[in-house]
Amino acid sequence: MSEPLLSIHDLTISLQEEGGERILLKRFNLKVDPFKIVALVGLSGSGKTTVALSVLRLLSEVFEIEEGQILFQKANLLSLGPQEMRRLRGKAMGMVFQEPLNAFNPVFPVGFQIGEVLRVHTSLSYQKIRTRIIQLLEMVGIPDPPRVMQSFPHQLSGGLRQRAMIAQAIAAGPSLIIADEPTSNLDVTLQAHIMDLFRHLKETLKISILLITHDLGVVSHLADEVAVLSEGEIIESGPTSEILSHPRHPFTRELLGTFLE
Amino acid sequence: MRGVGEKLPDPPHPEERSDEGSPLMLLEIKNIKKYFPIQRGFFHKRQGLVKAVDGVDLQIAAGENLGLVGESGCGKTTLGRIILRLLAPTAGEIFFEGREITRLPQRAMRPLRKDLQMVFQDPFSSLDPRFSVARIIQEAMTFDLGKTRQQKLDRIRHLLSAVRLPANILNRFPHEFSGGERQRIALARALAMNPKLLILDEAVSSLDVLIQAQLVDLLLELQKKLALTYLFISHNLRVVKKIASRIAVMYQGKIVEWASAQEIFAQPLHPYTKMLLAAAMEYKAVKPFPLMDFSEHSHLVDRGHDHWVMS
Amino acid sequence: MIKAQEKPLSQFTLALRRVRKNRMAVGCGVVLFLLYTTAIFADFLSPYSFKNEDRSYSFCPPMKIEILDDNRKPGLFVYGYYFQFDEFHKRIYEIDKEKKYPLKFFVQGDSYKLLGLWKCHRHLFGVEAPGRIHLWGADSRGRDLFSRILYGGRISLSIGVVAILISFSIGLWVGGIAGYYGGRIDNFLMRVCEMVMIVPGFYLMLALRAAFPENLSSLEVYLWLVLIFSFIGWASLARIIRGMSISLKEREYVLAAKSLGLSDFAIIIKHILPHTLSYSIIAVMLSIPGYILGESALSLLGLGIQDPYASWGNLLSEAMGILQIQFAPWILLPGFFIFLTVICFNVVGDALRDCLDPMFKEGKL
Repeated sequence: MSEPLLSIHDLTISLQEEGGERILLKRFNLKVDPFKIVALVGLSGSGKTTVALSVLRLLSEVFEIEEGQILFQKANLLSLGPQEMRRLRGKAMGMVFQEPLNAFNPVFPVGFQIGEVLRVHTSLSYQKIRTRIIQLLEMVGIPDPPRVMQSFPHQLSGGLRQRAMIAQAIAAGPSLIIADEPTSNLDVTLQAHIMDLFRHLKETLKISILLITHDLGVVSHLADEVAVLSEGEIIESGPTSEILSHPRHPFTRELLGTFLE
Repeated sequence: MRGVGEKLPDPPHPEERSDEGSPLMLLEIKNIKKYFPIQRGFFHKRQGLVKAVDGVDLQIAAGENLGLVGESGCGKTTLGRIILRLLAPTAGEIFFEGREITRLPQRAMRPLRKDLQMVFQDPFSSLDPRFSVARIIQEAMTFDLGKTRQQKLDRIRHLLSAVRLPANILNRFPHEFSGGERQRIALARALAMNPKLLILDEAVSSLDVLIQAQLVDLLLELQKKLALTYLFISHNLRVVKKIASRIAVMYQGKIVEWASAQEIFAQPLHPYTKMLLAAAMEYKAVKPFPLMDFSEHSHLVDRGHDHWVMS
Repeated sequence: MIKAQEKPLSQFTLALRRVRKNRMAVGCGVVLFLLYTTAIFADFLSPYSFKNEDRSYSFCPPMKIEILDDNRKPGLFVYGYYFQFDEFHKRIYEIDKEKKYPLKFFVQGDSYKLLGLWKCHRHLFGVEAPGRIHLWGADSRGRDLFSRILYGGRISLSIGVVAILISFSIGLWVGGIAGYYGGRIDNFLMRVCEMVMIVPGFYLMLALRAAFPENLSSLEVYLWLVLIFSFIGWASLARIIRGMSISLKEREYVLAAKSLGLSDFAIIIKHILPHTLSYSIIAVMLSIPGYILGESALSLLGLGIQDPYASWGNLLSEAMGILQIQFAPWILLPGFFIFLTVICFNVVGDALRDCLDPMFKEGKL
């Protein structure tokens, strides 16, 4: 049994609001094994994005991490300093956001932004970076990489943008990708392609993926394991086939209901 | 009131259709085209055309929900807006309840607006953030000129309960609600004038699956109570399956397949439809569909059981 | 438990409720209210008319209201002043304890027309002749600064507001229509804006003002000034509103309003222009000091409100010399009032903008 790549223990995060304290995550436990796709399923507001941001330590200070550990390759991410975290971000862990239009800077070409990851984490020469970018774009299935490299985010279609964002996430060779609702804004046809791409990332590039979604259909076709999140707590988790064939919690059954209809 | 899925009389055969709109149909559109010129350069020289909608015929009978499916960019949203007369078509005719409305001046359109309403895709931008919920719905009641203030208030409360929202939200603002709740407010607004045809333009696409399911249930319930007909525009056949009795598949501005929902799911005939189905139901990725070159003579052919496919 | 049925409130009621919570804004609003009220009732509140002069009190320093006299007898009064010349031929004032002038209320004084309608003689307070009361000192001609500041408020406080209302209305409409319709209408309106903006404002003011006949009554001068200011001010606001209007008309709620059958006019008023408010209000509030100072610049050059009429601007023009400032610093008091007005307008404007925005969180100030 190998060590899990990412392992979250008893994570509790709260937020001070006008009406008092609101608990976003309550004793949250999750693990991602190497070369596996783990899905975190929940509705908007259940705390899924909070999980993603807390692993990368991108939460703003208003969120209080009351207790818990996030172990990544044996180090507790919560105890690392900003310098160390920065080294990990991009290089060991990558993130794919839901809306590429927002995640990309509109005033820089896409190639330049992908290159930024390489510039920060590697010491490759300009030429080598350029080659690598083209390589990455091809890897994610983008046709005509040189043209796309020079394009601005708004000039690309939704599917191409999302692929470019995935290229940026895997650029420095991370072992874990966190994907926050990567296909929610895409057409079904594009969704299928991106799911294929994730499968390819897992099998060929050996990257583990923590997939955050609200769609059990995506989960059933992509994830090895699934954890169901409702109002900050994990209510059920296990191998996908298990959970989908024998859901125990009523919420899981409800979600499954919409999928099976 | 007819329920969804009940057998309806066959729509008129193409050769039998006269130049007048058929009175049986709630909505009928003939050969609608919408071309956008591509203008470049300082002098706005026309350099080409984007054929957003390229010769579309559709018929919707009262009580028979039509699902209009296709990917982004196929022209379905443009078509929805043309039907609502928010965009002027380059060519073609629109018939509502047998009467042609294509070139009606906006003034004459106004009384018809209460019959034709739309719920838009983005719940975050289709409601004016500076308007309170009460004001949003009130704005839609422009034709209730005879009603007193109290009657209007009662109607607003009635609408809110119809969409399963609590009545005490009158003074709240859109940003205080979730996506699903906002769509319900938008729905209440659309229902304010008792429309006959409601166009839902990707209305559930940006919501969680569970909320999507709830909203679709709500729509079906409201249809029975209020004698509505839906034109449901979406890219996701999975969602359309629950609500449509007939489905039209759109690609590159044209309808490539048109049949009852059962037929489309059981026996898709056009390759594009097959691809959409595979992607939606089985999450299967197919090689990008080649740009089809439609010849002048491409038209819909009935392959039996009123199942029309582009030749 | 079902709450009592809620009634929908208008926008303004909702906004007002919010404003009340912002103490600073309420405070500044009260100050502005007081300033405007005193301006309206200036003739009653001030002991003298703005013209009333007494050269023997030239540059008299601010007087103190005494409560107890040497014999410790209570009663409000003012001492008489007399002056001597020092080696620079400057006056130095000394208190003459021999002359006591009791402070009286509702005294008879210079006549005036209350609110322009009723002839009156009464003033709130004053002293009997030959005594004079100068709470805030006097100017070179011995005119009471307190009175003149109150009268001056009338011009300065109103000129900005009236001019702003006119230019704001024109600018909002021109910008809103140009942006919404686009095409030729937009083209035409923007070219008109540009032509207006090309003209250097200040020179236009001078030229227009100089073109008037010499002997205009001060009311006419005032009206012309307002017109000139409005004429210059609307164009830049229009351009910015037009830009905002162009992006706002693409919003989906505008499309939704169209689908409800609203006319263009209604859409512009209800959906587009309110969204430009957050910019417009600030722009308006920040222009008011500009107008106040513009008026004083004109007065400085002798083209604005003329002596003997007072405006804060032209009162300040008296304070142009270093000698005056050094030896009679109370001359600068009108400047403090300009400052106070500007600050209050800014705070109230900020609060208004925030309160009209439904998404503003009340906790933050």
